[in-house]
Amino acid sequence: MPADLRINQTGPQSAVAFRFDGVEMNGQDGDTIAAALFANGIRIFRTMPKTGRARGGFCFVGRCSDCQVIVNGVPGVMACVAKLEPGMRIQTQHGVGAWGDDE
Amino acid sequence: MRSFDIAVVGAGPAGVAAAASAARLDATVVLISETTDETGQLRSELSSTGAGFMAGAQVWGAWPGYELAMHTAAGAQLVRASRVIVATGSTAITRSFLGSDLPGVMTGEGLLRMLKVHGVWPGGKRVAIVGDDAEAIEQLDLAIDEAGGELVALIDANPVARSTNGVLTAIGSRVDGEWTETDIAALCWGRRPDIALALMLECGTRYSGSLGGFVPVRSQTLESTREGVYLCGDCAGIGSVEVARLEGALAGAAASESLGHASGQQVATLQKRLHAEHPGRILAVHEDEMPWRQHAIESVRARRGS
Repeated sequence: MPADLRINQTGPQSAVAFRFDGVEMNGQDGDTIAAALFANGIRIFRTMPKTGRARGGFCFVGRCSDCQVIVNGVPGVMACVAKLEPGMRIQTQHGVGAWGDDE
Repeated sequence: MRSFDIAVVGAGPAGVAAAASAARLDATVVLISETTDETGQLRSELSSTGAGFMAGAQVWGAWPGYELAMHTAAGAQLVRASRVIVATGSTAITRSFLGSDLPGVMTGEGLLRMLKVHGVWPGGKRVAIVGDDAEAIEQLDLAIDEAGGELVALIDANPVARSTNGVLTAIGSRVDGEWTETDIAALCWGRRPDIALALMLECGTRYSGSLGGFVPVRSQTLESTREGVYLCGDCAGIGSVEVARLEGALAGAAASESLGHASGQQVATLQKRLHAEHPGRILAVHEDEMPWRQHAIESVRARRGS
């Protein structure tokens, strides 16, 4: 399923390897974290501090904070604007997350 | 702290035009952009004008003087400027409804951005469009088509979303009670002016239905009620790209001129053009146009007997 969520792929793209909640995944050069996660079939990025309800991105312009994830132990990273980098360790953010939370 | 004659906040069509027009009149200018998108293109566009450019800087505070505080990748930074041009644009209008927080419910512009800029379907290819902004719906429908997706429902009011597995799986309308299976619900309720920074700078505002909500009051040279703060583009009223560019050029020239940089006939010419081509963009304050306020003041005075 995930592979065909990419649109108008022309030719091979250079792969960018990362981990999400401990699982090896591949994104593409130029991806935001959100784009890479969506392309891998991920739809839930975080849960909310008070209600615990799942969120998976809403505005995609860096406003709403529905897409916050923990990246290399740093919580509150906006997946929709932060660029994917090779070797990133990305985790679902529960609540406000905690500094140093890492695999 | 770095100091400039003019700081422009927002690098959309209005902000870019403002920075370029101010810098061409020899003011020292910095253009502050929240995103790092199109950084290269903007830098080259501005390089011939002499305007400085800060990308990835989010302004979160503003003080008289003026001082702007911003969050950047390199940490907190302060910039001082004699004049501030606010070009913060607009934000999608959103409304809460049952299930509106489910993953899969998103703004129409967010979906458009994922499809057009990032080239990825955010969760699936079946889309329900919710809202009444005809222009945005038409644009999104076309993009969905081009990207090989399917428009499964159009709901204009009273939506309700549900889930069977933690993410959006179906959307319905409380009007007809029908449910449609979908991966994405895209909300297209139009845009409203983003006036947060204008309010931080304590600019006076007024309500205007035709401009899209509460918008800053402006003089004929686009200056706000705060001396030295100018506003242009969508943050002063929802409009076209042409209006934004024109207002940006005017605000830039006017701010520059107020610092003693002669603009020749530029300010007067742009003012005339704005007035002729886009009437109704400038909201002046006239007490008699604010009957509710007048009424409130009078009734308080009457009660207090003064």
